[in-house]
Amino acid sequence: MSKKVLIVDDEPGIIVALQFLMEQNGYATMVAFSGEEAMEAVTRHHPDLILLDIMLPVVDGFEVCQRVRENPDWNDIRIVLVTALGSETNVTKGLDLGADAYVTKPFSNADLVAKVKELLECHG
Amino acid sequence: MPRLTKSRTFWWIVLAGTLFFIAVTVGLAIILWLQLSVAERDFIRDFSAAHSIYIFGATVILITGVGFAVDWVYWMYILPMHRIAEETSIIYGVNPAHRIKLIGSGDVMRLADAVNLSADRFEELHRSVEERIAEARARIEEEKSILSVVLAELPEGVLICSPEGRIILYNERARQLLESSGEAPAARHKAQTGEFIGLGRSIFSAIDKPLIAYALDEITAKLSRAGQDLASSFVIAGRSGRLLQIAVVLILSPLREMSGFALILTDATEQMEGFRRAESLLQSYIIGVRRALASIRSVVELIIEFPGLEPSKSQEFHRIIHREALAAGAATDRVEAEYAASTRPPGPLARMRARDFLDAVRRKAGDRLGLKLEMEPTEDPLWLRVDNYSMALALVFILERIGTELGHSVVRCRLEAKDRFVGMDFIWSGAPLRLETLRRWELQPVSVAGEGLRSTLKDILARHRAELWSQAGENPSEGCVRILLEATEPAPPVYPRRQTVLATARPVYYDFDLFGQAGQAPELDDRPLAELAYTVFDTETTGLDIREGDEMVALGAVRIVNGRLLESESFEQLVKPECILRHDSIRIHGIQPEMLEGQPDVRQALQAFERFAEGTILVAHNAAFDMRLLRLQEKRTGVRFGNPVLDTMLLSAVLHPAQRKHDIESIAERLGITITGRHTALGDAIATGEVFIKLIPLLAEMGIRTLKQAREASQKTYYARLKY
Repeated sequence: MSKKVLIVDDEPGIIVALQFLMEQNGYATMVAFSGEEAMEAVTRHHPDLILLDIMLPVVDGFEVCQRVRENPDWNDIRIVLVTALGSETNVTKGLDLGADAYVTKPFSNADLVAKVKELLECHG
Repeated sequence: MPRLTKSRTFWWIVLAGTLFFIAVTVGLAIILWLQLSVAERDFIRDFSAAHSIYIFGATVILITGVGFAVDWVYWMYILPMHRIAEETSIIYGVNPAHRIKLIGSGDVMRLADAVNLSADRFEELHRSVEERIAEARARIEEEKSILSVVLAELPEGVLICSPEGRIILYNERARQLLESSGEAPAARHKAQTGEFIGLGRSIFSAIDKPLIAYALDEITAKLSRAGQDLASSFVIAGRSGRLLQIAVVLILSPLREMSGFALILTDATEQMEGFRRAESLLQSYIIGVRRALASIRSVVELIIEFPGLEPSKSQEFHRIIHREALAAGAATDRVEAEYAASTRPPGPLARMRARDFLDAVRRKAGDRLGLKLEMEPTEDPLWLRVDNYSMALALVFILERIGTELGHSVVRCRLEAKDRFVGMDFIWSGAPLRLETLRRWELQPVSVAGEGLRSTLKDILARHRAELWSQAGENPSEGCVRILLEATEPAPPVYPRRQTVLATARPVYYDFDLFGQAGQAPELDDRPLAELAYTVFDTETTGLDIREGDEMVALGAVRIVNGRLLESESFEQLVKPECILRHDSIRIHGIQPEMLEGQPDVRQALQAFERFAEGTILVAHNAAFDMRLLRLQEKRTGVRFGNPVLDTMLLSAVLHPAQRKHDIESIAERLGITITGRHTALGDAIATGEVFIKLIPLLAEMGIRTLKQAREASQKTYYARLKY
């Protein structure tokens, strides 16, 4: 059974691109446009990995990350923060909150796929 | 009290003399009686019984005569002698112009005349010494004046404090920034505002002590490392939310010990706001562009990686690229627009009216080039941000080129507002300027009639972010050069620099003697009177019956620090009473009921006054009245004045018990003080303060040097029976 990747971003453009990229690499995808939608999707589908944007309306990516990590049932979910906030403090904060990797926009598709594969294989 | 003892001594002598006389007389009579024969005793008894009325009468007359003689001696010799002694000390102590005027015996009058004559000589001598001192002092004052005026005109606030944090020097700007940002310096309506900045006050009431202590520690550490930059700074929020940047500088004695510290205050609100805006602008730009680029890059990489995409997918990807490219462009436009509209630090560019700026250009063009610049009328006043000198020279340079190369001696100038710019058109009758000619001018260094800059016209325009081009005028037969300069807000700068004028007397904003002062101790009792800080105050009331409900309508106070009356640190507040203002009191103080509308109530006024008087001794004339007034309000206001109190009326009675009048006018006259502005609370407080300052050295002569001694002496005087 293929691994499930949840893509969370409020930009439809990047969602289309990431969805296509992940599907081409053999992953099942689901999308969320906000933090609340992301939490709903996590509860319902229990994805293997989340590609999570930080700057989301109302509930931001940091909070989603924190909430996922607070639930021990979701310990196996890998989280990759994919964001335009490139400052070091944001990277540190994201990783401290339990993200497994941090990718700054714009990124290379190949690098992102390699990172996703690495995380899913290591923990899979 | 020494004077009182002297005065009583006379009466003790009289009493002792009388008793001695009686004792001797009675003794002699007894001895005589014992030596008499029985017949002689009988004769005396019969004689006395028969003539008792005469003997009694003679005795009464004798006693009365002696009594009158003694009283005459007292009023004509003893009392005048005391007054001569007191008034002599006034002449030699505080007021050389004072002369003894009294009624006494011929001998006493001759003595008084002799004292007055020597006082004339003394006054003359005193005057000539004073003149020489004044001359010498004037030279020092001038230098101090320059220092204090420069200090007063600095746009930065400056405060110098003793190591304990007491303020030794400050300028008006520091007070404005710390007391209430933006409030006019003349505004005395401080009942609702906060801390007071003043000489001798603690800076820690305005700036938290840990902040300053931390900065001083940092500097001390730098000092021990022999560092070069011996300042430290921090930012605090001022009273109306403005951000104050405070630089702390250590002041060291020649022995490299700390003698105090200086605080330099700058209003950093706009600067910080500018930084914040620039940062947030940059951040939002980076985020916007990164997000767009992420989509574009990802999609482009997908197109490259998967060449055989379905047409619908391919089209979708192309649409994403287009949309995100537009989004990146919009983000860039937004940032550019916001950056252009943001207020940047003024730098060397000054804000000025476009019309004033062009008037200067017109005059210069007329003087230097003989060229006539005609100004077209403009409706709105337009404001520019320019480096006045270089831009004016640049415009004169352009006019000179128009004059010499194109041969026009009359040029018309039109001002026009265009969005956030000011357009300046220089128009002449003739063919328009060729573009390449203008480009050539732009590359030339700006120079007119020997006066020039190294910068080229292009440099100056770039510095102003100005644009210059040539176009045809509205009339096709006219040429025109247009310069577009950034417009600015017409508001004047936050703190305009005023013309520097040397003060005739130095402003009392500094007092270096405080450096040597001991730290603030709660035990004020044993501190010398001359060293203490005082708040001299006076009140005006609705009437004189304060027990029956008359209330305060005005409160005025002034501070005395180190024996100097600081009129610039005064407190003046009208108070809205709850009872009716009586007509007879209006006649005295002139405060009309309508003047009290909108004024703070007694609670607000007393709370502000409590802060003003904090840590000082309260001084008033007939303090019993004023203190009673304050105490009666205690319950209602919750403000309790625990400060020690001194009363100039009692102190005057201590000093001059032989004088009958101790009202403020009589004391002032004795001490040679001219009173102005009486019967306003502040005017009376100032008069009382001046009297008090003169009393301090006279009290010291009597051995009353400390607060405790002054209070004890006051309590013993006759007037102290009017206890508050």
